[in-house]
Formats: sequence, C-alpha cells, structure tokens
Amino acid sequence: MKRREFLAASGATLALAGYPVHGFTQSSVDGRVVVIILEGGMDGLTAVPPVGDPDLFRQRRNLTASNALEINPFFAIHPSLKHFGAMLSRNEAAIVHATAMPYTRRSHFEGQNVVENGTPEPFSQATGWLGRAMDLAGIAGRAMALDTPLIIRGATGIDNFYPASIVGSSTPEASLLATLENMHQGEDAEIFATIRNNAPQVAELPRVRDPEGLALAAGRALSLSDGPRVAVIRIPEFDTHANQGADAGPHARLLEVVDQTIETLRIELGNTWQDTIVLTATEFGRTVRVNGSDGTDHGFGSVSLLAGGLINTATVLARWPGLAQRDLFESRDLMATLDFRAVCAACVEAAFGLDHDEVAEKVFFARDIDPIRALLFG
Amino acid sequence: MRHLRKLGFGFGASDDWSDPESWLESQLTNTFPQLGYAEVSAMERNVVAWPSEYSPDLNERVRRAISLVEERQNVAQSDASASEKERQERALFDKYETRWYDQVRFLQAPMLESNHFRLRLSHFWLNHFTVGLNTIANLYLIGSFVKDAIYDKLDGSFADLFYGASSHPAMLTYLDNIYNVGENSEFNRSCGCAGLNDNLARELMELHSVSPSRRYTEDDIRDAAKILAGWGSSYERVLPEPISDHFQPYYRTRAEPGEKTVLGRTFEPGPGALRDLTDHLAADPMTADFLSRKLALHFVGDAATEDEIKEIRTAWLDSEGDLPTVHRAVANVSLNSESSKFLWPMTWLSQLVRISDSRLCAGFAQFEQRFFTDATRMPGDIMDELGMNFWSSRQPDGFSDRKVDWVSSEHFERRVRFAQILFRFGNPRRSVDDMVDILQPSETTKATLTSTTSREERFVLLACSKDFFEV
Amino acid sequence: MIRFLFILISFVTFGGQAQADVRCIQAYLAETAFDPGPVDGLWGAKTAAALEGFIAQTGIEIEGGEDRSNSDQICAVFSADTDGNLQALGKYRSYPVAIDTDLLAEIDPTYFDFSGFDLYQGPDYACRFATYTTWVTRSDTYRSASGVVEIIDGRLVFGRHTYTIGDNPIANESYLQDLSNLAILATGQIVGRTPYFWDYTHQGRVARRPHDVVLSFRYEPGFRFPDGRSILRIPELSPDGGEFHGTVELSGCREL
Repeated sequence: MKRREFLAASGATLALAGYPVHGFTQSSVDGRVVVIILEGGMDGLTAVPPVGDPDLFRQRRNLTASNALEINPFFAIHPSLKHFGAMLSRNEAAIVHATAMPYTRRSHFEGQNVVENGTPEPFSQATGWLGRAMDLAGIAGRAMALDTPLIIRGATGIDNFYPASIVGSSTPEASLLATLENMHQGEDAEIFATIRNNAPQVAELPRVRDPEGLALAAGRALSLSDGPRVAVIRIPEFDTHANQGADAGPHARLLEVVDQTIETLRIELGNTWQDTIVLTATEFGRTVRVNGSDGTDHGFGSVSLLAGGLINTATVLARWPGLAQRDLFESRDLMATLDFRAVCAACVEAAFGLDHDEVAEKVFFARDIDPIRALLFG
Repeated sequence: MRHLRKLGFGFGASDDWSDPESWLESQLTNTFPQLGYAEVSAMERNVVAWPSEYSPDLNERVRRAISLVEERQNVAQSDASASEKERQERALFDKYETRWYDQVRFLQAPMLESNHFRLRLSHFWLNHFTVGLNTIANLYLIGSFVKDAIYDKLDGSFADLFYGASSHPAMLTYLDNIYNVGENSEFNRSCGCAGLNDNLARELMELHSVSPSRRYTEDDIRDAAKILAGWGSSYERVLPEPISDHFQPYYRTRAEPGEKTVLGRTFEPGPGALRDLTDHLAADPMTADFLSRKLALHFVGDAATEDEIKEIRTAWLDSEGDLPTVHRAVANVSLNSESSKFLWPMTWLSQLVRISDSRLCAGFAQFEQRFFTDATRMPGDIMDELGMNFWSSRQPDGFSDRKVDWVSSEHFERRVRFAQILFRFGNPRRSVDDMVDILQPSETTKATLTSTTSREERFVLLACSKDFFEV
Repeated sequence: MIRFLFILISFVTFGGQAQADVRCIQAYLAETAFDPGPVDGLWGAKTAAALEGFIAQTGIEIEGGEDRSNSDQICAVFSADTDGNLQALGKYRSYPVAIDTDLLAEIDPTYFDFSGFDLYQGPDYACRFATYTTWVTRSDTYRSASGVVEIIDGRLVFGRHTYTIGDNPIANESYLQDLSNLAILATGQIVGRTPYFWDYTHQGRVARRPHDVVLSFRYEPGFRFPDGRSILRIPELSPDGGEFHGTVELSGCREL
C-alpha cells in the first residue's frame, strides 16, 4: 500500500486477549482465534468473484479483475490474494461466501456494532461474541481492562496493543504505576495494574502501527505458551464508494494488505499455526452494480476468508443465491444466504472445543444457528 | 473553579477564575484575538497574534489543491526516474502545504487563547460534523472547515451551521459527494458515465441531524442524494467541465432535475433545495433530541440525567436552534451537574499544558524543521498519540464521547509519557505545589504528592491523578 | 415439507410415474444449495449435476445408482427424509478447491538472487551468534536470538537457534532459517532478504517483510574473522536517530 496516499496513521489497531492465569485456568486451551475486522464493508464479489455465474460480467463489468486466480470451476480469487491462494493449495484456508450478519440497514455505525456484538440488534449488548465465547471456554485472564473492541468485551484479561511513539519518554517505572493504581479506583486502577504487569512482555514486541506490523506482533504474542489466545486486528478504509478499481485501485490494495496480514500471522505463529483459525469479518458487502462514481455502495452479503492449521480441506462454502437481478437483495445487493454467526460459532467451536448448542445459546443467544463446523474443519 | 475546566481548558497564566458568571458571559459574547508562537523553545515565551498569511482563505486553498493535482499529474507522466519522481512529489507537497499551519494553529489555540468555551464548542461541533482525510484535497480543506464552517458559525442558528458544514468542500469531498451526479442530469445524458452516490445523503440524516430514530427510508436517502447531486467539484478526477477560478460548489449541469421528496416534504429542483433540506432536517424535533443528548454527553458526562438533557432540548426547541441559547443552557447544566466528565485526551493535554504553563507543539515558523528528532513537537504526531487526529482518514461518526472508549492501557500509558516529556522538555513554569493550590485535588492525591520526593514523579502523578483525568 | 408432499400428490394424478419421480427429486434438491434448475419433471444436465453434488457432499448411498433410471428409488430415499436431516446436510454447498500450484511458485519469501553480487571468497566458518537489541530510551539491552551460523561460500546459513521475546522462546524453531537469505559481500557488507525490515517514515516505524537489504555494517576493523569475538554494530537505519540499535555478536568461529 502506498503510504503516501494515506498520510496519517493508518488507523489499524490490535487487541490481544485471553492471557492464561497460572493456577486459575482450568484446562489449557490450545486453540487461537484471530479476527480481522475489515471496516467499511468489504466487497466479496471483488475478493472472490463467482466466475462460473453467467450474470457476473453482465452486472459488474468493470469491477472484476481480469487475472483473477481460478480456484474451482465456479469461484476465483482476486490476484492480490496470492499468499491466501498458497494457503488454499495447502488446505490451510477456506472461504465462506454470500454471508452476512442478519442486519440489513447498511449503516457502518450500526453494522460494525452488530458484527462485534453478535446479535442482529445494534447497540443491544455491552459484550461481544468473542468475549462471551472466551468466557464459555474458561479462558480467564489477568487484570480486567475495558477496551475499545466490543467484540472481546465480556472476556477478562484484555490488552490493547498500540505501542506509543513519544520520543523523550520512557517506559513508566513499576513503582510509579503502583502509586497511580492506588490513586485511582475500579477499572482505572486496574488499567495501571495491567500496564505494570504486561510491560515486560509487551515491551519486546516491535513497535509498529500498520496492519502487517500488528500482525507480526500478534503472531509472536500468540505463539508464546503463556501468551494470549485471541487477537483482533482492525483494518479500516474498505468503504470504497468511489473509484474502487478492479485489478488495481483502492480495493485491490486493501486486499493485498489483508493477504499480507494473514501471511505475516502464519509466519510469526510458527508451530502455533496448527492450532489457529484466522477469520475476516466485515459489516456488510457492497452493491453488485457499480454506482455513479465507479464505486459501490453499502450492500448485504459478502465473503469471509478463513485460514489456519485447524482447517481440514480447502473449500468455498456457500448457498449461492445467484446474481440475476431477481436474485439480488432489494434488487441491488448480493443476497446473504449463510448467517455469519454460524461461521463465528464454527470457529470458536473448533478452536476452543466448545459444543454447538451451548455456543448458540450462550454466545449468540439464538436457537437457529446452523452447525457448520464439520463442513469447514472436518 | 470547575467552570474553567468543565467548559474550557483550565487555568492558564492569564486566566481569571474568580467570577464564573461574568466569565461565562464574556465567553458567549466577546471576541478574542487569535494567538500563536513562532518557535517552541524552553526559554521563549513570545506569544503574538496569529499571522494571517498562515490562514489562507478558501479560494486560495482550493487554488492550491487544484494546482497540486495538476502538477502531480505532470510529474507522474514525466520521464524522470522513480526516485526522482518521489523527490519531486515531496517538493510539491511542501510547496502547497497548508496542513502544517492548520494543525499547529489547532493545537496552539487551546493552550494560549482566552476563548475557552468557544474552542471547546468548536471541537464538539467539528467532531459532530466529522471530516477526514480520505483524499489528498482534504489536506488543504480541513483547516478551512475548522474555521469557516465551524468556529465562525457558532453565533447563529444550528440550521446555518448545518448548511455551511454540509456544503463546505471538505465535507463534500470527505463523503464522496464530489462524485454524486444526477442520472438525468445534463452531464450524464451526454456521457452516460456517472450516477448517484448516496454517502453524504445517508450521513446527513443518520449522523448529522435526525438520526436513525427518525426511521427514514432508503427512498428518503435516495432523494436526498438527488438533492445533493451536483454539489462539489472534483480534484482527483478530471471532468469535462472546466473548474473555475473561484470555488463553485454547485454544478448545475450535474444536478438531478425534477422534484424530490424527503421525509414527506417536497423539494423543488435547483441549488436552493439543499438549504431547504438542511433547514427541514434542522427543524425536526428528532434533531433537537439527538443533539441535546450528544451535547450533554460531551460536556456533562456519561451520567448526564434525562432532566439535564431535557433542559438543553427545551432551550433548543424554544429558541429554534439558536446556538448561543443552546450553548448557554449547556453551560448552565454542566456547571450545576453533579456528574463528572472524563476528559478527552486532547482536552486533558491542553489543560495540563495550560495549568503547568509549559510548551508543547512546534511553532508556526518551524515548518522547515518538521522532520526533526523531537517528533512529539509535530502536531500531527501529537494528535496521533492522543488517538484523536482530526486530519486522519477516520470514520464519519467521530471520536467517542464515552469514557469507556478512552480507557485502555495504551491510552493511559501515553498520558504518563506525555506528562513525562512535558516535565522534561516543556519547561513548566508553575510548580506542582502551585498547581495543587489551584486545582484543589482530593486528600488522597494531596497525601500521595506530599509523600513523593522526585519532582518529575510529582508532576506525573498530579497530571495522571483522577482529579485531573476528570472534572 | 407440506408443499413438497402436495406437489408429489398432485403430479402423481396427472403425469407419468417417471416424470413424477424426477419432479420429486428436483423439488427436494431445490430446497438445498444444489440447484436442479426448474422443477419440471425433465431430467437434464442441471438435475444430474445437482444430484451428483448432493450425493457427493452428503455421502449417502442409494441402491441402484444415481442416474435417471433409478429415479423412483432416489425419490423414495428423499421422501423418507421426513425430518429433513438429510436435506439439511445439503443446505450449504462445499465447492472444493483445486488450484494450479505452478501459479503460486513465485511466492517463496526466502528467494533472493545472489548472482551478480561479488561475494566473500574467503574460508568457510562455523560460529556461534547472538543478537542484542539496546533501547536508547531505556538503558537496557536484551538478547533476542542466539545459536549457530555457518558461513559457506559467503552465504550465511543459520543452524539451530532460539529466538526469544523477553524470557519466552517463540514457537517457530526454524524462524531465522526459513526467513533469512543472506550473504556476505567481498566488501564485508551483508546483502539478501531478511525476516523484516524497519522502514522509517516520519509518521513512525513500519515493519515490512520480507525485505531485500544491503546492510552497510561491516566487521570492524577491516574485514576479517578474528579468532576471538567479533562484534558487528547495526547502525541506525533511521535518518533521525531512532530508538534502538542492534548488535550481532559472532564468537568462537572455527574454520570449516
């Protein structure tokens, strides 16, 4: 990604959660989950064009990459996703298509909340699905810290990783932090305790702020046996309302960032890759047809990219709705035929060894979530 | 005492906190000079009037933005080597740079000027009408937005403010309205290459005025987009129509003809429709609801009561959105409230600089040195580290007003670090004891400070005390 | 389910049995992710493909086979699925991936072409190595990696090593081997591809990987392998000073 064009900080963030507490964690959970939140609405039809669907080129002539890599007779992947393609060839990756949370109002604001809170109602929960899954799995943590990513709120032991770059300052002394802890109460006090406790481990990680750098830090942290079990990386700027591009252009560059992020995770996780699942999440897809500015507007169904050693066989999982005008949602968007909650559920079931019915009830508060773990993880 | 911190930036060397009522009155009615300093240095305390050559007007900014696009295209198409092209591009950015001055101004003002409350209000409204850096053009336009669209528009009605913000080129660029062209417009009938873009139309209603509680429909959004079609000029994409010398926000040939209906009201074609639309939305009671709640959250805190919100809303509805009346209500409510407000990182830092009478952030004459080692002197980096960069490509719903979103180990660690460098390099002229006298913190805090001997530690502890994080 | 039975009954009274069976199959499959095309009782390519895919994914076995001549048996199996459990297994379709791996061959991150570089021609060595990082803003130094390295025909070949963060070894045992493709030039400079590279922008430091580098550090003084310790200092890569510097220490080098 050309840094010149995004002159300010990229806005990518990383949160790490689920540090085991010695003596308190009942069973050691070996699985790792990394959620990559793509903010702004990722265009699933650009990332994974259904080249076997005769309506694809009729509907979006200028948005489909000419050199997409065919992965089977029906689907191809965007050329920017080359490392992901390599993972597919090694049966370490999978794709879920035409999926979305059951939310259709197309607001970023609400949509992102829904993707994180795990229910169809925006702003209805104070916790996130991943946090609730971690609680169900008994992944206890150190000090509690409130943090920005709603998705992992509810779990204990959360740490935000966004290293400071303030020249002339120094890592605060443990004694100073202890004093500050005593001067504050409640969560504020616990924050200072967290800073003090995590300082040795966090200080060794490279101090970077772009998505690939954060993936490097996350991979290393997750590979430690007493490191966290969960990471959440947030990549912004997918909201390509204008000049979206096909082979090149903003969406293609962003897919390259996603590809590089997943690859960096794979490398840094090392042997822990075998126990890991990485999944992408986005608040909605984009319209099938291009808009007046060679871009796309907010849509419905999109794609989720999955990668990790926990995957058994490379596949594209979908209930393909079709791209003819009558098949579209409200005559404009790719229909979502697979509830994204089922994907999230399958991932935590596989990584944390949880039972499906329990996950449906306690993590998603719902009865009608399809069990698809076997289809993705064998 | 609290009033200076609740509604302003606290106790600077020249602040008088003896009479809250007359202070508030002067804040709402007087004008105050714009100040700045040329160089940041430990010894220099020379504050001058902000030089006008560093605040170009909108036309000048647009001229620069357009020139930059043209000259960049020339460089891209030239035969020079890749590294030479990069060097030339960097030189071009330097040549047309206004962002540096805008950012320095933005950070120096709360640390120096006497118009506290107005500045705090302008931060609120700037965050409400969020603009960001999604394209290069906004590097030059955000500075204008801050002053022309927000700061200068706080004496009239919300409707004026709303219209000015929605039609400002920074907003039209940020939310892609520069690409919003009517499908039946003159322009599109000849090329068939453009169409509607509903990004601004959607946020106009969702985030800026009535909010989703109003239950507007996709048709409402679509027709609002039709009203907005033709507003804004394109910097990145060359359209067949020439861009005139003066900024012309409305392009008749790109407008959508015909009547439009939004929320039950019909709008005639033509440029006046945007003003009618924003007036219509401004007058909707849902706007008053939504904004009184936001104002309460911002100034009073997370625990703002329904009564407090109601007082602001009543002032709004009674005065039909007269901003001085509303702001006065906000001030009264927050001064009388029992709630405590957890301050934004930027507000906290500005208050710390002010109460310690220290210096942070480069001066306006230090543009040439802007890559120097003291990176924290750079306003962009300061804002990045605070987690609140108003010149970043951020989400349109703005920075959060809730405490929970600013409480994390990364945020708190940065506050400790900022306090450190302020002590080490900012030359605070007020001692910690004097600051304690002014601030009157809790007994716990006082006791802790008494038992600490290191001067730096005392400074950091006071800066990071609960009394100072909140007000 | 009710709708399905209604269709079955109504067509038994009108059309031929075979056509009814085909309709029965099509109607059943239409509820799954395997689209049989229009439910018209006519067995075509779409119907055959859908049936084949459904059977392959669900793994059911139908006595008599899966072609049109056996449609009555197939219909019977589907009709017996009264609670829909079998059908649910086909609710989503799994499209297996088969990629032409030749297309992906160029992505090897460790590849670096050393031809055209004037590599060190001296003797081969085996040494122990350790890397240290010193933070300027803190006054401490920590060791990040240690192990053995061989210098063979100018190429650096990392052997057994540990890479730690603080006190914790990271799980990737072949980390440096997998990612470093480095050699020593005749001038003493190191060239090749590293695990990551710090790129300094005035916005901050960014890690890029993998990266082609020509590092300008050398053995001091001159270029030789001392029989004692040899320390290489990696200079600041940032134009403004940066926050840390790294040191690579080779010791106990013996000629191979």
